[in-house]
Amino acid sequence: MSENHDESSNDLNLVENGIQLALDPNLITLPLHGSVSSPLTNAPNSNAQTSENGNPDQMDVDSEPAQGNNNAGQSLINNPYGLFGQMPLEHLIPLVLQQKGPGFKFADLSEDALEEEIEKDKSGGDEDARPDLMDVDPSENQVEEVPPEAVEEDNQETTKDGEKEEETITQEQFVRMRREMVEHINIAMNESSLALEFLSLLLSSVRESVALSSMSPFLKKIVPVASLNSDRVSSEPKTVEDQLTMQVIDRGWKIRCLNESRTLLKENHSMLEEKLKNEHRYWKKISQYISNKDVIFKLRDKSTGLRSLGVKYGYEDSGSTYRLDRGVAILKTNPETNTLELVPITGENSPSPHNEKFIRIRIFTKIEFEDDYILSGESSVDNVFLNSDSSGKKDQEDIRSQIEKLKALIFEQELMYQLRRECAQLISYGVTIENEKKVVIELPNEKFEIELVSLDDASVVNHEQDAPKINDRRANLMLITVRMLLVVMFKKNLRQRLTSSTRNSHLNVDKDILLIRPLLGKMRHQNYKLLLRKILKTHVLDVVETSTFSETVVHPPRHENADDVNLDIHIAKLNQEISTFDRLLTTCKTQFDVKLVNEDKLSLTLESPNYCNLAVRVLYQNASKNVSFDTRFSEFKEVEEILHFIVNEYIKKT
Amino acid sequence: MNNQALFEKLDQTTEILSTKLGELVKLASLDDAETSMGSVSTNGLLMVNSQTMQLVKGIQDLLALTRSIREKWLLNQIPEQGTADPEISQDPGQLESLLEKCMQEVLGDH
Amino acid sequence: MQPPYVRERLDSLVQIDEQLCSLLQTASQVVFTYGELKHGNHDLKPQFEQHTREFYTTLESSTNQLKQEIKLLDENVGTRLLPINVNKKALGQDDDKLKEQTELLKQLLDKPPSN
Repeated sequence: MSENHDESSNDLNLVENGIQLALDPNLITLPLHGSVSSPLTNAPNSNAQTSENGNPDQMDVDSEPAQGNNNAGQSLINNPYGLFGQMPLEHLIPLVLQQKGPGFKFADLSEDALEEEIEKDKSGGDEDARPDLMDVDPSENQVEEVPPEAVEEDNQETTKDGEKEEETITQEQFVRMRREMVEHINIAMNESSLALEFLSLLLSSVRESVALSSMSPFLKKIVPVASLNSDRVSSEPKTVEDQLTMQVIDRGWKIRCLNESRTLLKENHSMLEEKLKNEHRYWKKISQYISNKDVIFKLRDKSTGLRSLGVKYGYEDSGSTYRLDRGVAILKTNPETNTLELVPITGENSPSPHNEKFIRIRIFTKIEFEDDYILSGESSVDNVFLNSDSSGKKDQEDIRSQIEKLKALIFEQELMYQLRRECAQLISYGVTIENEKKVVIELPNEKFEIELVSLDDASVVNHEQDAPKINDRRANLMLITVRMLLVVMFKKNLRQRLTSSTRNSHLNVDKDILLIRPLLGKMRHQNYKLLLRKILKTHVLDVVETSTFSETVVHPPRHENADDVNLDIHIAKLNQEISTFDRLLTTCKTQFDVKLVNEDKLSLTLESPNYCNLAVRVLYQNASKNVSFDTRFSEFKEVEEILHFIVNEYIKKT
Repeated sequence: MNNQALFEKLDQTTEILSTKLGELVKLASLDDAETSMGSVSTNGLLMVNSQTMQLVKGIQDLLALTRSIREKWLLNQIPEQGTADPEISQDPGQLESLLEKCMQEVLGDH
Repeated sequence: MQPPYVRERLDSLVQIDEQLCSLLQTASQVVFTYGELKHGNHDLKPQFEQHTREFYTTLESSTNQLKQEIKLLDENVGTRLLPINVNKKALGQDDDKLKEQTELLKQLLDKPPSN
């Protein structure tokens, strides 16, 4: 056992040394004919017991020394052993006998002799052993395989040399390679003989004798002589007719294609020319009328689906917060009049001349004792609007005037919108909104109406023809003032955008919208002044002799331009512009100073916080600058009473 | 600005245009009588559809190029900024006085 | 009105366009004369040559001009044009409105008050 073990381990080593290509996939995929088990498990293969198949025993028996008893190892390396393994005994024994040489009897096999042989072969090198095998193989396998060729010997030699030179290929591989080579050579031979047959057959039709000698008997039997021949056949020339027809067709086709191409080109050219003309006209007009200050941009016309240019005319970038109309118009070519026109993009109503509205202020004076008002003044229509149907005007002014008109219209719209918002809060001061459209301001002796009217309105038309009324001028001035106040609102908004990071899109009604309130406030202030004068007169002057009073208007401090030096130029500009309206926009304050006999001072300051409210501050100081009274009242009744009180208490006493 | 792209496109199209006409004429030539029916018809069709239309398309491309240049000029201009345009900047004092007068009138000169 | 420089550019672009369009016409002429030649009408030969020459010269001149335009465009990007597509803002409209109204105001106040 131990010997075998040694042998097997030796063999394993040999095997390992021999199989340097142990991981050769070829090897691994080889069907292991005999042994399924791995080398290690099969190490003690000399045991006759370990045999699913008779291989180990037989291996043992023939035990070619170099390969030893290592089953799996052997089967890995050597396919023949697989073969041998499968071989029935009666084949195997003659093999062994053959290998051992003549004069050897099977009975002479002994363990010791085998051992010796193994030793010998081990020292002799494996490769020698293998060729021995190879020697055996083909001869044995002769029955099964293709008839061997004599070239084998050469193969063996070459393979021997090859093996010595290169790394050892496995025997299997070698055998396979040789088999392949053999096959190829066979095929080559077959092909060449076929070719020869062919040639000789060909030849046979010409030179019979030569052919017959070279044809194989097989062919002679099958194919009759001279049955294969070759000739050169001349091609049939086209008839002249055909040629001519071809040429004619050719020409005709080409010419027709040329004509088609020419027509195509011409059509395209004319189409293109037409389009180009239109385009050029469009662009020319644009370049003529649109300055580079107007904001043009590309947009897609929703109705036609074409892309065209649009103009932004709204005041959005200049401070407006009006969201109902974006102020964008498309430059379209009117197909009928063939002129460029601006078509504003609005939600619902398209501005036809009927929809163009502008603001009109009317002043009604109250007729005394009748509680009715008559129209005493009306503001007139701006010239901008009158050019709506400018049929007489030339093309040149069309676009610009259209732009101007649109700008004015949207301004008016926004003005009305803001006015309405403002006046909604002023109801306590006599301002009402009628029909959601008209703003009515009522004062003791006058009534103002502000509304959006369209050009077609009858009253507008009539206004042009009527004689100018008294308050027309005032109405116009009011209108202009209100417009300018809206611009001031824009500017304030711009300033805020520039200075602060917040941006409110909805103006706070109380604080920001100051259109009517300053005017109204001033008017009310006037009225209050009147009242206060009267009160003073009755309560102070008439009672106290030699008293006079003077009025001074208290002005707000002026905005100093020096403050703006450090600011951005635009902000400074805005500041300056806004400050020019300060006088208009501040609440009024008037001070009534009553000069009394004995250097007491009685002064009443009439203020209008929130523009329309009333606050009266009564200050009474006696000669020694002791302030006796300094209170504020918001009702005239109270003012009367306090004056009465003061007069009675202090002045009359002295 | 992708002027490089414009240039390239221009060069490309020019090249195409210049060759197409030549090709058109060449195709139309009648050489040998060996041409089969198939080649004649394909040549003809090629002529008409491919070459001619490529000519047309080339021209259209160039026209689109000019239009894009035109748009760039018109739409992307930097507006003239008159810094200290005396017309525009109002004289604030004048405006104030005007406003004063205006208010007086409106309020009825009380 | 656009500034004169821009107008020049636009005019030259118009020219280029017209030239390009005429190219098509010339091409059609070329084809036509060629067809005539095929018919055997050989005296159109000089015309054919002329048309082809016309085509190529027009092509050359128009493309040269176009190249020039692109170059000019490139040059002006920093100064006259914006390099990218930006939405311009319509500033200054408030000033315009104010000015307009001031004018009106002045006019109105200058008029002597009626009676």
